[in-house]
Amino acid sequence: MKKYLTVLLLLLVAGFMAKGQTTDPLVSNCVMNAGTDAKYLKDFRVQLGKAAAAGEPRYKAQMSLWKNTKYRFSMCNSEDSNGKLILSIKDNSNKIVLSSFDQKTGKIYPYVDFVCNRSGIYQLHYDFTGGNQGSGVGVVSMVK
Amino acid sequence: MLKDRIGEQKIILNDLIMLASPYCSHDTEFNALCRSLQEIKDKYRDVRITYTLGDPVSVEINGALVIQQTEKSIVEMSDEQLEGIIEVTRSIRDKLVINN
Repeated sequence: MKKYLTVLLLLLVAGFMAKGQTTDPLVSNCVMNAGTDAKYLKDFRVQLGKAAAAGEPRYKAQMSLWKNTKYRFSMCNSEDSNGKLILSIKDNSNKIVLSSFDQKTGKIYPYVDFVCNRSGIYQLHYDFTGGNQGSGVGVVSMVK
Repeated sequence: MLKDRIGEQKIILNDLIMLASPYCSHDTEFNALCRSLQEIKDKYRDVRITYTLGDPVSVEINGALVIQQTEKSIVEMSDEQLEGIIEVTRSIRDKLVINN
């Protein structure tokens, strides 16, 4: 009887621990695919409907980035997304420092490595291509 | 390197103070926290962070985009200023640890 109770207790503890982990497969897959040299820092889950009009990116967040550090910004999309997740980053003087979307060629990069040399607070702007509806995740990692 | 990291915390400190400020008069605990942050800010007052300008350089390596920032932040902090910051943070940390 004591043995069964111990097993039951262990199962309950394991259940609670599993609940504490991220349950979103899109996030965990994106983190896993960031690369073996990348250490996970943060993720941004982006879910947007179709934009009424094309314009400024709709999902905005702030993050402090430190100099002498290489960051990797990975973007992943769920299968039912109409648009692809794109990222642009601005510094505190509102100057664009990077974009995962090349406007000249139309190329969308699934991840961008950023060698930061200026410590500060940066604005991360996410949206889906063409202001389309979409669901995705942006993962920030530090590259060793 | 570590000295630079400590100096750079001046950037985030102002944000922390701004976030805490609406609650400073709420209760004694927040009031003490705000005073502690202010003490740290005073020690950082003469630490200077300067910037050299430059445009980011982007290169494509094996299909991946790599952006190298040419703009740089430079921390100017004397050993005395660093010692002052270490001293005040040590005293605040000790108070927080003892209280908890």
